[in-house]
Amino acid sequence: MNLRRPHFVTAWLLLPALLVLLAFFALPLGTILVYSVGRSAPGSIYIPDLTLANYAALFETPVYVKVMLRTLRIGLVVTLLALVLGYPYAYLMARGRPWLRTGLLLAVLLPLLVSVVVRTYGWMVVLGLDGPVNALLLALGLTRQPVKFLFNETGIVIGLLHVFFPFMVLPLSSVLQKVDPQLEDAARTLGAGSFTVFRRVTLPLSVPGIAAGSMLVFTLSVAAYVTPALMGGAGINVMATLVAQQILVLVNWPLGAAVAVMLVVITLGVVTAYHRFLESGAGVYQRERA
Amino acid sequence: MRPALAAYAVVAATVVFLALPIVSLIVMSFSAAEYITFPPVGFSLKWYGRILQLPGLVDSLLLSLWLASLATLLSLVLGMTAALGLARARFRGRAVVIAALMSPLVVPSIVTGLALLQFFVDRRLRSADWNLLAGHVVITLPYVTRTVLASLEVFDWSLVDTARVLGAGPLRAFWRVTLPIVRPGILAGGIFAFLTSFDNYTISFFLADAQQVPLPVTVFNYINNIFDPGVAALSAVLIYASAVLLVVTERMIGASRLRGF
Repeated sequence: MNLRRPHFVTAWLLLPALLVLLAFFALPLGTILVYSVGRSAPGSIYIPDLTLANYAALFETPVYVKVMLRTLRIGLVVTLLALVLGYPYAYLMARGRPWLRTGLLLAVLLPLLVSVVVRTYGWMVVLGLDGPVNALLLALGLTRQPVKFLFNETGIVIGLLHVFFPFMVLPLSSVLQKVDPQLEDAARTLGAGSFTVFRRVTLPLSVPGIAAGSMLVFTLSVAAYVTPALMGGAGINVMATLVAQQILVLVNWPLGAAVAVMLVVITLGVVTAYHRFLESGAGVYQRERA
Repeated sequence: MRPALAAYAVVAATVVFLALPIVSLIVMSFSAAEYITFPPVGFSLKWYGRILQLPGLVDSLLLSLWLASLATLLSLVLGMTAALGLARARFRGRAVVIAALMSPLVVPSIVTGLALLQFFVDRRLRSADWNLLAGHVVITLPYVTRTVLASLEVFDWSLVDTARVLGAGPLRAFWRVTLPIVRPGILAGGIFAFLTSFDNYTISFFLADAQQVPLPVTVFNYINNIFDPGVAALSAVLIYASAVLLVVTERMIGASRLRGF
């Protein structure tokens, strides 16, 4: 008795979801591409054209270049900080005592369930000129004037780090959970100190988790809108806020579309590099063997 | 300091970092002062009493609840159907189909939002609520498809074959065997979908009009315009709701299922 579903049933089951994505995702993305090669003119949001002028403007206008560099810099700093803070966190979440594991899991999941707008607002309250952090710094005598954390890059980095920290910790801890503790025991038996065990065994084996977490945090940070918009204020643009500004304030839809396309290019570039890396470089085993 | 001790210290500091904005908002929400100040002055519940008086709040909240429920329902139907189609089938291009179904996760949501805005404007589709629903289905669908597909991949299909041999029709076998076993995956997918829609700002602020403003957009506007602890009280209520959801999820399907979020 052959109970395998015939092919046409599969196609019918897949069709509704694929059609919805075609209509409301693929076609709109096509629209963005069309807009990005169009022209803008006073009195009209868009004139059809086939010009690369918008992309040229992005790379030739110092303000836009600065925004793109700032976006990438913020993405890198947030990713590095998330990795440095996230590694020990993920390690304890994977290896700690059961109560500690549950506690750390809940501590990282609760913020994830709270709306990004609310969490960013929390940071605005915490980091404000008369907020608790400045009150503490003043009380300890570490500063004589309140430190300005908001409406600059520092604030954006702190906010994004909080918002995307779980995306580093969760993949990292599931990879660390799969690292066989016996391998570490074996290294220790063979005379390796705890730092050597970490550097030569645990760390290399957790590289896939580091790669996954870093890829997620970087792509999410680079494209984030809410946190930079609230914590950066009007003066500090990143690519996502530049998109919104061009579309909603300056009504230059072609340029806004070009910035959006650049965001997709960056994201796809990082995701592709990640998959290449997984296919080749994550073979840490192979490298060690060679 | 021993390395292990240093690691514990870093992790303890990180937990404080994670809790800081959330705890601060809760503390501020009990303030008796007219402005957000630190340390908060006095203790009062008055800001909680005034939440419903925030301009446009009730409409926004109702819209977001409707939007999240409908988007979740549609995504569950579409996502489960697609996952069932993929689960047992092995065909050329299967990986491509999966990548296509997951693609809204890869494209930044600000881009998706803008794309939908330009697409709807081009086609003169001006109904904000339908536009919002379409956008929210697009961003919630991958979560549902992914979690349901993941639970179907570990599902033992011989159980269905057994049910069929014992005389159950395909629908009955699905309803009585497949569905109960993959239910945790469906629930997890549904929770992701609901939260993703309910918290979404970036798609919504492009597609909202003056009347149809989802809650995150309203809260965002409050933050820029209202400086009393009322917004903190509203935020605190949203935080309590998240905490309740986390506890309920932990009881029902185990919080670790939310890892995939």
